[in-house]
Amino acid sequence: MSFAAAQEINATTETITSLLPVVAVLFPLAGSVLVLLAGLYAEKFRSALAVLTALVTFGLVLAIYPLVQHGTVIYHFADVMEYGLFFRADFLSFLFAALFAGSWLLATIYATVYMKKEASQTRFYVFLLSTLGHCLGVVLSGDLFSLFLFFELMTFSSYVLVIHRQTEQAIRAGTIMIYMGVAGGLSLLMGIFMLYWGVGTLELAPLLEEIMAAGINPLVVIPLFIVGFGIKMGMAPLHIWLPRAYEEAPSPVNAISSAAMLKAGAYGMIRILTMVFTPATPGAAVAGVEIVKYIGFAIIWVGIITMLLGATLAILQNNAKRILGCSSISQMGYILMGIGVATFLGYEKGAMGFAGSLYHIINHSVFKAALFMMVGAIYLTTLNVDITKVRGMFKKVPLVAVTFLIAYAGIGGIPGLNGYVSKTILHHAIVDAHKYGHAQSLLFAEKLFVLASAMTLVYFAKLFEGLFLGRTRPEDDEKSFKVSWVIKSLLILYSGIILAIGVFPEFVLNRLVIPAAAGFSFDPKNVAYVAHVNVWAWQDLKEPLIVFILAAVLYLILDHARAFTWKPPEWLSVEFMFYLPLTRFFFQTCCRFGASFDTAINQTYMKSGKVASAMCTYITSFDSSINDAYEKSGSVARKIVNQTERFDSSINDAYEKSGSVARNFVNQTERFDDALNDAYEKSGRTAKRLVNKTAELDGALDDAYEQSGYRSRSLWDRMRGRPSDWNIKNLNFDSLLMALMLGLFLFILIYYTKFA
Amino acid sequence: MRFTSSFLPVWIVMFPMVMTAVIYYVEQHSEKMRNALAVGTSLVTFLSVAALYPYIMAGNIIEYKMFQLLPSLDISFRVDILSFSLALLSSFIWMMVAIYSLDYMCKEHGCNRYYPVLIITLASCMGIFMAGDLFTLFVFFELMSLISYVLVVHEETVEALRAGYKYLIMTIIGGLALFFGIIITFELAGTVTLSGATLIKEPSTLAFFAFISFLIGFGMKAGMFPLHVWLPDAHPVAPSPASALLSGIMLKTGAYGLLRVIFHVFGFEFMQREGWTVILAVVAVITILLGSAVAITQDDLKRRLAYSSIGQMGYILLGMSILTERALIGNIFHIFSHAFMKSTLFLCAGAIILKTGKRSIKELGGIGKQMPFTMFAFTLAALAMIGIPPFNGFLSKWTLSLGAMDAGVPFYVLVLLLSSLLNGLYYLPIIISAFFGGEPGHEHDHVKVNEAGYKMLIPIAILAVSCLLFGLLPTNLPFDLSRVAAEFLLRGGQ
Repeated sequence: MSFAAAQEINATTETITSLLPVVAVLFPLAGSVLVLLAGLYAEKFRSALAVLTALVTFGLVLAIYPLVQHGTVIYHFADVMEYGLFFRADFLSFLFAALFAGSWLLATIYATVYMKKEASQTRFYVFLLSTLGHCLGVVLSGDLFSLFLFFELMTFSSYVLVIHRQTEQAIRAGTIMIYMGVAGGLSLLMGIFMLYWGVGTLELAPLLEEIMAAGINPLVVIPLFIVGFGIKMGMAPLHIWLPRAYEEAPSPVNAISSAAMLKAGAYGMIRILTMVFTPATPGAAVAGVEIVKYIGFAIIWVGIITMLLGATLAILQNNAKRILGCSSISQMGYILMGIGVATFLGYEKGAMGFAGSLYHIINHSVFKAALFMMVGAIYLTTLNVDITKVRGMFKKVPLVAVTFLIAYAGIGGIPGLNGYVSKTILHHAIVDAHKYGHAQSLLFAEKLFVLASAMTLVYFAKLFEGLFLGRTRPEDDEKSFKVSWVIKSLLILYSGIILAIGVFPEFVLNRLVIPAAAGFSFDPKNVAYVAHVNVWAWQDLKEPLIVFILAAVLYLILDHARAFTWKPPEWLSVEFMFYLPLTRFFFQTCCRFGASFDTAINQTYMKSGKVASAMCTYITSFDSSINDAYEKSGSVARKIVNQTERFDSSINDAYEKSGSVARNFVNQTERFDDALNDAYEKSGRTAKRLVNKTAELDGALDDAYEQSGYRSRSLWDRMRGRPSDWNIKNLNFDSLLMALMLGLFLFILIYYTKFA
Repeated sequence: MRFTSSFLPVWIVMFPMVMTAVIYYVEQHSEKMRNALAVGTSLVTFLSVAALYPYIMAGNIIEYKMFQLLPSLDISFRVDILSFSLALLSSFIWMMVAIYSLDYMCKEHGCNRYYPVLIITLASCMGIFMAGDLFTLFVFFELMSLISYVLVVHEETVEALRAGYKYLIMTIIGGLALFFGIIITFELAGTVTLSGATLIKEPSTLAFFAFISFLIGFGMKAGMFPLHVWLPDAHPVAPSPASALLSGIMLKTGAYGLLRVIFHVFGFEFMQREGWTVILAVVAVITILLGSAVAITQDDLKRRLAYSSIGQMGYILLGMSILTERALIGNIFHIFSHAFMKSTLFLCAGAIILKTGKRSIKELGGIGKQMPFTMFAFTLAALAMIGIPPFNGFLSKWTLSLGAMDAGVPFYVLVLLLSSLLNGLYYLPIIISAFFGGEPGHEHDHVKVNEAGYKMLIPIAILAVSCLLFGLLPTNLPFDLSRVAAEFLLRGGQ
């Protein structure tokens, strides 16, 4: 298909509403449920069902092809999750989906052999298929919201695959992976929030004008997306989860992880950088284009650093799976560089970088999956892929060795094999970036690009030499290396694809890569130029020659310096330099500070409680002193009573005395007047009666005083109460006091404010 | 807006209250009847609340004045959309917990005390949500707070009694602060009836004191920093179904009270004009980060959940301080989400404790093989807590964050995301060690499946699936209710 035709299709046809993308995403998820049921009730059909599901999914994805040739396939579920789920498949989505589903199908077939002796196979197949569904969801979703949903789900479902063996190292690797995944997801979410808030839509469409109009700074938002997708992609310096996870995961997982999950990150990167942050009118010079261009420039360099770092790490490893994992980092660096060039050169000249990275994505999916399957085939017998121990496999498994050499040549960029084409296009891209981007430093980047290609050859030479040449271990000699026909045919199939793409590079370029570029804002003239690029020109063919010579020199130097077995000190690793201090700092600040802060608050409360209780103790003593006072006053009263009694008796005495005086007086009167005067006698008797009555009154008064004394004493006794009622531990008293004090405070406050 | 008078709110509050006495009488004779009555009462209460749906969705407000308790202080009821939403949620969770209790409590002592208390707290909780004035609200609030003390100290261990004492002291302080606030409001406005018109219209020192008192009173219940200290002690020691209610529902009464204060006593424009929301925002941010950070350091499962509750209540407080429409929707929806998530988590923790007696997270390795169903439910709820789509926790964070962006404060979004990361840091290790920790599994595990009874599993399953459905479903009842309630509140409660 020529570009003009593709452009025309994109411009004229309308969108097609079809459930097909939705079905493609949901089918493997439904299949995983079936596999779960099969695992519970019919174990025999479990793996067959898994392969069948993957096959049908692949078929469903291929069925989208005729539709995307006529336009964009969309399906919208309004109101699901309040925002709505939006599925959308254009040619790029289809390309990725087909790549994912195809790799998955082959990996699932491979897994039926590889996983035979492993534990928890049901869980493995269930999560293998659900991860496929989530991966397809990432590339078939039509807006960033749905993309984020599937991206997060993919992080979690792939976690279960990585830690399948459940060894301590596997759990550790998985833990690093999932936390980085969650952190990346949150970074992505922050970017999505800012975008959605400003623009009001999350659609995957050119939005740069609206973004700038909303006042969003791309320098803030784009890095958030780059971090989010970059973690999944293995971008330096966010790659640290990758080598560990690859070493621990089973080989089929490595294969799909390289072929699909890393590419999901790349897909997101492509959508954000070359679609969302481009102007809606292609090539328009709106504000913000310059900023995005600078970000593209930075990404070129991040890509270069990633490819060099990955290659260096690969040279230093001894575990075959780890070498391949580090190699994946390095190859993702190529892809990143291509995306960087596409962003940097933009509308006019960016198509070359775009095509290069897309082509390399396809190629890398093919040869890296094949390489992992080969290493896995050896692992099945040796249970070890340390290249210092497991050696001399050429004699044991010649077919694997031959296919390995083909894949090696493919990834190394030997002309005639697939890697050569994509690397050549990427080389064109970086040269273009230097030529049209007017950035002198990119001349240096081009040299580093060549160096990284040479390093690729070097570490694969190391891997090949280690694994296939040399002498076998004695224990491996005894084992019979029977590679299953399934694995053999898979490896042959992959080698065939590698060769076919290498021999007919135009097919992939014109039928798959160029149509995918149609939906993006690239100058049609530039795209047409890319479509007709001739990779068989002398100046391109001489590049592998330079690379080859450089690699040979490098290999000899490194071998001479014993660099292949050199173990770099721990402090040199990114993990040691950056991540460990970071996590330590994070924990220090967050947890320790938080916990001690919390304890401090708690202690403050406790202290205030203690103060309150001390206050209450003081009040108790105050209370008892009041009590004492009452008691004292009681005794005073008693004393008064006593004194009153004494006073009484003295009065009594006085009366008595006065009585005797009267009697004396009467006697004297008797003695004085014997002549018996009636009146006198009567008065004498009256006086006597009077005296008697006074004496009675006296007695009554006395009684009354005594009684009142008793009564007052018993009253005080009763009022004093039993001591236990006033126990300070009694809560009601506490609250009463508090209520009292708060109430007082309240009324003071109210009246102060009212009358002041 | 039409007002109708209906006896139904009174019935909803009075029915469980009367049933408490009935249960108290019945339990002297038959345990089975007691259990049946407890579940039945919560079911009838839930259905009665649900019966209000057509009235409320038609935009009515139900008002009912009962009697005068003190001069010019009525006991009155008023049901608007917010009251209805929370009452519906609470009675539903209560019903689930009552069913769960049947199995869980059968090995516990003091069930004769537990069930009447459970039902009377339901009554007072309904009373809080349906109160028509601040005084009624206060009465029911105190009733609930004081009676739930019995739930907290149910185990009667030394720890429980200590925690209960702390809870009681703090509750009394909170109650007094609340009373203080209500008296000031009465002094300034002459009435404490909740209605469309705001009560306090003029800013003054006294009004500020009222706001602070309300903040202390309700914030105490909501686990707001720095008044949260009772929560991590009291929630773990209670029996698990009670913890689920304490964390899932009773914390929300504090949030509900603050919403009423913000929208009915002061009015949100007043709050924003005076900048009092800033106080709430600062406190909320600290609450979020503190709760999440401290949760990481906890080893006791239930204690970790309790600290997580503090962090999550911070989200709700943050939503209240932002006060844009979407933030408010997120805030109310998070009340729903957190109720579902946290009650699931506590009920799962209860099932684990009941079956294995393990409380320490270090001992939980491999528990997923022993109790696959429970741990699956736990995983669903925990992922919802972290805010992974498509669970309901994600939806509330999404809405809340968009609200924060509306207010022009991306900082809050950053806080929410950081807290999500912290949530991941303390929930994921539990899940990972439960399923993948311990000995490497074989095809047919020798670990015997040892699940709790179905009476416990059914409520767990319903609540856990709700976490997923209420994030995913296109017609999402809690979200719709939150949206209508937020619009209603922003209209000024009319």
